[in-house]
Amino acid sequence: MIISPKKIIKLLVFSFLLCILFSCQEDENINIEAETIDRIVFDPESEKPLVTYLVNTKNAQSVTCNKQIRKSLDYAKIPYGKITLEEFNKNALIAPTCKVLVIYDLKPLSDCAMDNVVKFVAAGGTLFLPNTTENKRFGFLCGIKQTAEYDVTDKPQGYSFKIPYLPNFKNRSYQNRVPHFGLVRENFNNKIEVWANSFTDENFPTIIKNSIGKGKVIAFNTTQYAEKEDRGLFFSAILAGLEGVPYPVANVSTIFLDDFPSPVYDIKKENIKSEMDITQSEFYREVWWPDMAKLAEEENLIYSAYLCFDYRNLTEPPFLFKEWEASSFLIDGKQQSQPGYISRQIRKSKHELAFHGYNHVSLVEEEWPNKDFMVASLHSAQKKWKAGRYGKLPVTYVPPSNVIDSLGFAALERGMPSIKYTCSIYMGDFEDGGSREFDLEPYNNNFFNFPRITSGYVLDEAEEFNQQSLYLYTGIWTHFVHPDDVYQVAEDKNKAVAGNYEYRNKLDLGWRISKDGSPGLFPRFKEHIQQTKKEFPLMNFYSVKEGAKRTEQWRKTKYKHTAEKDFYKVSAEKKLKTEKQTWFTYISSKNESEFEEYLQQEKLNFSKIEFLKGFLYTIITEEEAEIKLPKFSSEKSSPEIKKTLQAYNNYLSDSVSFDDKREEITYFIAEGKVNKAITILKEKIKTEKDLNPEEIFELNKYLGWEERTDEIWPILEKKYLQNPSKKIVKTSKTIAKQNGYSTENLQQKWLKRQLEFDPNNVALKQEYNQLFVGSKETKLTTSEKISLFKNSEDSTLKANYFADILYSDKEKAI
Amino acid sequence: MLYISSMFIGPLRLVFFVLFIYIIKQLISFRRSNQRGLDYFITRIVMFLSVIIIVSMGLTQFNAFDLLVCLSILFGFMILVFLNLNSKIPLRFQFLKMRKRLLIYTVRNFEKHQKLVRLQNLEKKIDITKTKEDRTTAIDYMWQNILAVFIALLTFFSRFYFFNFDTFTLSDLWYQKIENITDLTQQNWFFHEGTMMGEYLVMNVYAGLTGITNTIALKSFGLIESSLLAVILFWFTYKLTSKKLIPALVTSLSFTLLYPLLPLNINLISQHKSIFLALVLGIPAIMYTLNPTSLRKDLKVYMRWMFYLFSAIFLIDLFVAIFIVFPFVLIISILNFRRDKAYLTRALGAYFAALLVVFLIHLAAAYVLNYDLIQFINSNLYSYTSYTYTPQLILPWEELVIYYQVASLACLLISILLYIKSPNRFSGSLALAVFLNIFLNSYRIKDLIVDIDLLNETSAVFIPLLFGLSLFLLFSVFEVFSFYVRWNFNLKAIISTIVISALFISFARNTIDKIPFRKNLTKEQIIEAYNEIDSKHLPYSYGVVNTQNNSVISEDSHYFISYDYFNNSYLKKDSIYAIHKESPDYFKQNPESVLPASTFVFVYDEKSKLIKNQALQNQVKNNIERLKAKGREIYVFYDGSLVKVYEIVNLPRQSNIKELLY
Repeated sequence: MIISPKKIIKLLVFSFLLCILFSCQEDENINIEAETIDRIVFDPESEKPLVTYLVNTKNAQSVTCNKQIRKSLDYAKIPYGKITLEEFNKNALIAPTCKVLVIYDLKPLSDCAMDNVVKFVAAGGTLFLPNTTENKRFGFLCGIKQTAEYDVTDKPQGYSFKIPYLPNFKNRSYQNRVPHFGLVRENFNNKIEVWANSFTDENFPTIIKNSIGKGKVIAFNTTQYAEKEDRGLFFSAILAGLEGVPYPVANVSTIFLDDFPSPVYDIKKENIKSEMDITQSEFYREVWWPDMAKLAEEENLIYSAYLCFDYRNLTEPPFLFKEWEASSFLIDGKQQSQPGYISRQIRKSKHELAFHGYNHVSLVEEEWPNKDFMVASLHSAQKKWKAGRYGKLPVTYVPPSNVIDSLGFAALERGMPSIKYTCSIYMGDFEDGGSREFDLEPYNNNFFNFPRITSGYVLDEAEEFNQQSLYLYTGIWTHFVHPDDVYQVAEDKNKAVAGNYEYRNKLDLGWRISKDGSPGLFPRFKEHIQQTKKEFPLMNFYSVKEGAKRTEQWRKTKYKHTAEKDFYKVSAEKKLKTEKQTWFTYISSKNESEFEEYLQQEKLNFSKIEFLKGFLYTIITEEEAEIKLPKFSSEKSSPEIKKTLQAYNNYLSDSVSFDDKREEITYFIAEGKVNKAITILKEKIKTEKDLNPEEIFELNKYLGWEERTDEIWPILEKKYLQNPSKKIVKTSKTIAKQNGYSTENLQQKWLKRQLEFDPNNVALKQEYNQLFVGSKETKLTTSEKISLFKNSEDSTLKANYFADILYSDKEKAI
Repeated sequence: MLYISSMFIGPLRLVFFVLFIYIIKQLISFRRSNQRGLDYFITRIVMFLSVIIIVSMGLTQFNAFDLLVCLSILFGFMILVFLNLNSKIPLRFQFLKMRKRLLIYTVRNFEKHQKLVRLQNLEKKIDITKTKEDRTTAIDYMWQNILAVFIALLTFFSRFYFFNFDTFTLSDLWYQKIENITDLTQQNWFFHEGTMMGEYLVMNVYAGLTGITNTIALKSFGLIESSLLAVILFWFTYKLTSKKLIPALVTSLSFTLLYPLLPLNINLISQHKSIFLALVLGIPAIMYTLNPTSLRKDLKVYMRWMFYLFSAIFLIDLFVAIFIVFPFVLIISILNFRRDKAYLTRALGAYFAALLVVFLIHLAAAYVLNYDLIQFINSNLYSYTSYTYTPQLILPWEELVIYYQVASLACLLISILLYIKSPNRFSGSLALAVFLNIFLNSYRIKDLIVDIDLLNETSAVFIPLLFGLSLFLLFSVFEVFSFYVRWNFNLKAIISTIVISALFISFARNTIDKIPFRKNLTKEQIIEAYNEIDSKHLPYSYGVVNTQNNSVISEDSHYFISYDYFNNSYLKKDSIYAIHKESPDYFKQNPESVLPASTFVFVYDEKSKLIKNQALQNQVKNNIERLKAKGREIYVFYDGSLVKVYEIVNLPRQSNIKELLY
């Protein structure tokens, strides 16, 4: 076969183009499949990860923690890699692109592997330790004193944040009611930064940061099992090591109005009865909906209202609409079904009318006689929807009580095929219908899940924690309220309605104003919305239908991370259908001005909120889903690495080093080396200008242990001669009380010194005179003797004093 | 079921009524009708129903709806038809002529010493001795009638059997329907969401005509409706297939017995369905479009009758009128336009006129009553009350429908070929095949604008037609190849009826086990007790203490007393009543203190699972005991295993009809 030169040139050009093409692909996920663990689907691992998790497959907690961290990184499209412990111990290589290394437990690491971890940190990397371990490796990395006893406590629970560890969470707390079983504060040195303490014990650090070399270690002082709720906490720690790395978020906020429209009743119930004296139907029609609609106008919100036709819990056909039609009222001269009328009003407005079920019976096997009846109920609902002119058939669905099973999904698919998005809850148990991700439904991939994170008009700290946590790594806030929340005060009669959930109005609030005069649910909710919008001015509110669609697109889009010389670039692999893309990035305070200058120069729309040791920026790029930000991280330096490695080895060996004498003394005392401690303490006292009586007493105690108490007097003598002071004399007096004087001379000397600083002390004079032949200065006058006589309670002493007075001044004695 | 007798009395009385009218008609009429056999009966039944619906609707608008008024008008109408007056000739002249004719008839009979009314008048049979053709026709009419009776009875009893699986009685839907029937007595015709009122009106008239209670009428009407429809299907196929007996039998018996192949809710199979009643009129309407002269030859009369028919269909079921009858009429009009142009234009005209009139009436009503008409129309096209649950099917419905689609397509292809060969004979088959194809293939449309459950209910009527048509086309193909065997008609009728019935029954029996429902004994006993009370006591002479749901049954019949009222106020009221019992003046001044002559108290056994609050029932029992202790006359009126009804007699011999009479 003869190949023409023309062909050879073509071949070369083609090969060259091919080389260029592959060399440009910074983060292609080749030959790596998506992974599913416990029904959670994960994006494929990246070959060039920014975050690497060292997973110990034999440790269930390490695996679970990996699951939570990996999923949060999945959402944020941050390239993630995983190394198994075995692999790492064999070949301790950390990808050069890796900026954050996560290790659950340092113990099983080989020495070589551990050295590499230390080198990684020293070179500027961030090590995240989500779990406490009581060993020296952890100790070195987390700023634990070399002499620490690794004392653990089981009392502290929750978190009290000292910095805005999550946006808007500075000096706020999160109580998860799980004991930390972490190391007590005394174990840590003073160089560490405490980012969060415990909720129940302000002296117990829960999240610490320790700088080592050019890098840092962020550690959780806890042994808690990693939960889904912790994703934000983990992600925040990781973000601290990813300064300047932008990540795409959905920027979707939605408000669900569950059980609205729904049949209403002409009954008056508390707390609306006392506040407004109107019926439930009047409240829904004339107060609740107008208030909510007005709020939507003012704050530019779009609601998704989830209608439910019946509450009689019928599970056998026919599925009629008796309750729905019975709730009628006169409007425009026509007697109309109230929920039907409101449904049509919603259809005509910007809000979405969505589906909560024919009735409030969850679509689960246990609740229905058979699947066909589930389908029949959904068919009936579908007919009513069409006949009632409620617009296009619903696209989004909230399962009643957030509970649904695989059978329910199959019924939903058949009975209401227009449904594309199901909206259960983000937390909770999977088997009960909760714990859903923003992914395809594991039971039925015809549905995409858009779960809810928070609920209610008043969000407590835990709810707000969840809101901020999820928003941090997804840019999603999904919140739901019910129109009847105000009625559900903490009373026994409401227990059945509340079910397994908390009372929805546990604070016993009114709607506009409460019984105690405090703002009701509505103004509090309004304030929360306003506050949230203030924190994130670029936040977008959508209907669930639109929000879920955008979320689905965001979830399905792949992004490419490229580190250029001076910039860090992230771009979508495909052009987005939506015109804008929102990004989050963390920038430390020191780089704030430089960064903002860049954003202004690039004419990028942005906002910021205090976060960690700097700010979390929200940036919006127009047209193309691509962002390029300046790089801030410093280069690696080998002397720093060497020095850190040395310090690490020293820490591990017995060559103990102390920060100060005090630490040294404590260490030797703890070690039982009292003589050594005495020497150091003597030295310390000697070198100090001023005498610290506590140190003298401490030394005296140690000397006492060694039966060397006599040695205390020369030290006091020396100190007195150096700087005679009342303090030293007073100290000598306490020492004398404890030990006594070793010689008479010594006693006379120190009593005399006492008298010098306290010449009017009659008792001291008397003591001195009795012991030693008194001088003129120490001789007592008759009036002093009389005073002694009067103040003395001892009869023998009294007799002696009297004899003495009689002897010197007879008249006065009489 | 102690009320079984009532279930049969209604239909039986109805049959007697029809026979009575028939005999009267035969006695006074000299002319022999052109229509014979089933043609005769079906045309008249259909017309009677149409006119009664239209007239009654009009009457409700004048608050004049009453059985007597209704029948009077109908009687007048019949006389007018009988008199056959001509609007172009002066009435005086016509009446004079009639008088003259009557006088001649009377004088002639006197002279001949003959009675004015003679049994001979009934004898209007075909003279079978005349020709062979006449003899065949006579046998044919005889078998038509015999088979119609057989089919009607078989359908009635087979549907009756399914009461064993019934979930309709005393369900939400049942209460809603009974309310609709009584609402008509209150002269309220318009705007009952999800339903046109034609069928309820027929039920109301049926109850009135036969003297049964509304509850029994509601329960038994479904049987009559199905029986009638089965006969109509037989008649329709028989006519469509040019008098082929086997396809006609297969069609009607499939409808009656082949429920493992039909998407019918087996638990509601005995329940009345407006679609069925609408098709009782709709299928003949289709036949009259296909074969116009079988109704009336006179174009004007034809159009007028078609107008009545279509109007009645609109007033019974909007879905059938719009989505079944209209497409069918349109297909026939296209196929037979050349042949029957004059009739078809009138049929279409009648349809649109009916549509316009019914629409305008409802529009005016919506305007006056300030009601959302579109909402009402929508609610009729998407019936919430219908649903599909078919565990009895041999295959899932989604699979079965594919087979039917394929079969209908095959029918269409064969029909086209046969139509080309013999257009007149196969135009009906082609029209039906085209319609079946459109109808069955509408299941494929994802966003169907019609209600799939209504479509399923209609399928239960059209799939049997598909079976019949397929068989007919198969026979016709054999005929083309001269394979057709000619049998003796009598033999054929007997053997084919027995064989088909036996085959279908044995096929259907195996699927009964799949039905997960069983009748609710408590509900049966409630109905039984109500029937006992209603049939033995004067209306509004007694009160019934029962759950709030059952207050609907009391409407237009007797006083209703809730358990709450009975437990909290009845004893007090009873004391006042007992004190002043002998002083009528007191009650004139205090009418609120009057107690009904008898009070019937329903008490449910704990096993009945009907009452959740057993404490409430215990209180009821305690109150009855207290009343007994006070010396009131109380005895157990109805003693069921799960339901007991106590009668508190406040005024002896004032409520019970027998006691009043004797």
